[in-house]
Amino acid sequence: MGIYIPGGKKAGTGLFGLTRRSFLASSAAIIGTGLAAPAVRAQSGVTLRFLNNETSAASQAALKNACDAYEAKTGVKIIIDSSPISGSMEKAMAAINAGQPYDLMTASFIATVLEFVHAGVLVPLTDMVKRYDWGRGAAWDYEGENWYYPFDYNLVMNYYRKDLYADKGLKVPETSDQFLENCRALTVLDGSNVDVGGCVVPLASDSATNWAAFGNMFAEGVELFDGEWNVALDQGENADRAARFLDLYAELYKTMPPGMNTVSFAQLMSLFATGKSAHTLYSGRLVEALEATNPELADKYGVFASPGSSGQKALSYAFDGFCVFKTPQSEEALKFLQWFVDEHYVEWLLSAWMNNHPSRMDIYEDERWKSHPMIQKHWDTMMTMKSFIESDDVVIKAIDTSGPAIDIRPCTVFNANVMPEMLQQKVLGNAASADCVTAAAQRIRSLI
Amino acid sequence: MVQDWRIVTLFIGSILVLGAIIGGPLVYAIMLSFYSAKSFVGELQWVGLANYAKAIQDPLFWHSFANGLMIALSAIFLQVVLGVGIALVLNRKFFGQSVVRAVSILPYFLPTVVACLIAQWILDPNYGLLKSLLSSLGIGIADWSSHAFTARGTIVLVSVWLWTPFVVTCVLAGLQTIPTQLYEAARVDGAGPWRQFWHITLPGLRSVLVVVILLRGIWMFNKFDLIWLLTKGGPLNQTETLPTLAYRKSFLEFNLGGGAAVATISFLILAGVMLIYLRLFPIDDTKQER
Repeated sequence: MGIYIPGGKKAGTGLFGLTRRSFLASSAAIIGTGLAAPAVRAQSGVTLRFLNNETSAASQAALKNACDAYEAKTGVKIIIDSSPISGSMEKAMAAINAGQPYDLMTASFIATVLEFVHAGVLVPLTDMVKRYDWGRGAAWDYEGENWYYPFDYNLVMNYYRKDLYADKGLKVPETSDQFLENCRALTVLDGSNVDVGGCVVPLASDSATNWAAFGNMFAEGVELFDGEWNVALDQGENADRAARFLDLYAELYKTMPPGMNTVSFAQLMSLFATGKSAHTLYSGRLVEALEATNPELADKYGVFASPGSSGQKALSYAFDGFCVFKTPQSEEALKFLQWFVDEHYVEWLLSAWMNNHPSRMDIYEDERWKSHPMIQKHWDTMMTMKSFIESDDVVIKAIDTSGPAIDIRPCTVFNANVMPEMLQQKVLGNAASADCVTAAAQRIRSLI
Repeated sequence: MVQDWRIVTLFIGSILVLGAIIGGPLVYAIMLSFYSAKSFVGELQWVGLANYAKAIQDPLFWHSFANGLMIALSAIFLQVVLGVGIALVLNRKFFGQSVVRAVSILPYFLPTVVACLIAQWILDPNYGLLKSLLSSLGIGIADWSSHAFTARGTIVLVSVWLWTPFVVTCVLAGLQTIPTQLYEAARVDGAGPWRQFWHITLPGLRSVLVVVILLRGIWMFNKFDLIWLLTKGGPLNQTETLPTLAYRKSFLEFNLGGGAAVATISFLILAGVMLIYLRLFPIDDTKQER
């Protein structure tokens, strides 16, 4: 029996010579091919998901370029999900719980990395990290493994106005007393209000304060924990040092413009960039902001480490790096990350040329990186930053890396805003420094 | 019969959807409150009522409860008083009445985040509009965020700005239902505006006000976004409320069990207060009269 063609003829051989048997066979083949196509595609290609916290346009573009190049080379597609740093951990956790974990992520808080390590969802990157030399503390390990591939330090440096220093005949401070005097000298009052601040040191209960406000405290030699993870903040000499730091903060606070209780990352930069403060605290990102918003000021700034009363210098800091999650595609994710750090690491660093202060020491000799015009322009600052991570003269410490080793306990202190609230008790609650220290230490004990 | 079947199907469907999007998270949150959990991907450890015991022994919990109550009551009082006042004005006939009515409800359309950003721009002690204005008059501006009273006051004022239009709209609708003959009869009997308001308007608005205060009470006590955007609970926890405390514990300290316990207690307190409120002020007028 032939095929019936509407409006046509009933043919034994059918239209175009097709028999019923050959038509059915062809149809089955077409349908079968269609159904099988996704499976074939799945076997021939891999799609990775990358949660990126570096949300500047340049960084997103650099990452996309790298991912496009990798796809062109290997066929592995990488979907980039760029999301601000705040809330990224929740996003990553939600993805894991939903059964759709990301394959890679940029991590900026040690707490994030450690929580994921505890949950057993990260792949160690030890072999990859060990191939290079790193700046002080950058390639930290936990339980004997490296869990992320660092790409920058975020050292919190004191920025000062060279022009204002010259006008007032000031020198870069060697001690906290000199720093206080400089701040007082540069404060401009409007009646009883501070119109131009001598300095800005954040006070809010947030990560900006945890990150930026405690350089002077570390320069005083304050330890939150002893070698056995006992809370040491209010013990012996530590208590006196911490109280001395709080006394300094209270005096500095009088030179700050109003609103410190709500100042966060952006305002730390904007208050300096708009001339509302003679000093501020920030990483290299501020230089990028000055070049973008107030280029004239970009030629007039200098940086120094936070001084203590004895002249010891210290810097608070944070890290950024890449993590790989345990997923069915971990091998592919590791291959991509290895290729990325071999081929596109420098481009990635240059996407935030001053903020991505290299933690991998070979980068400082890399001509591609060195020849960037902005690195060239701010070479002195970059070399000062490099000296901070090379020399043991300057203490590098952070709230969330306090204690004898990398651990979740200081991260809990960071997340619970214990130290910012100690500052608030001092300057907003007008409490005695010793009482503030005792209260903070008790709170830490209740948390860990 | 077919219609009944459809109604039952739609009803069951609605219950299932509500159960999935409200009941599920609620049950999960209550369940979490009995566990110790350091993150959403870590192992849960059963701790029974320990999170509840810890929460109610924490002075910050009661401090946050008191703050929430204070902020909610102040805001509701101002919203209702201003809302009724504005509605009475808008209920009178005047040139451009429709336009003014439309404009008066505009703040309600503003997303909270926009309202908070506007408030911050106005009040910023370094660059704010208020600072510029006061400077031109030779007056300095206080740092509103550093003092408990001004920080709480700012939260209350922004909430009044945002949600008074809701009260205005409800009261205005209620005013349309009061027969004008009552006012005419009162005038004939020599009642002045105040007595008319007290004996006709207010009783006529009773049901509307009971619902408005109930809704505003629930919303203000549970208010998170506005407080978080303006003060993050600071300074020194002086604007911390139970919702911000629950968020802080869950998403900043990653103490999920503790945060869930605070949220559950807050839910129980609110449910209890609302039941008492509805018992004292039933929405149904006939029950009130009985």
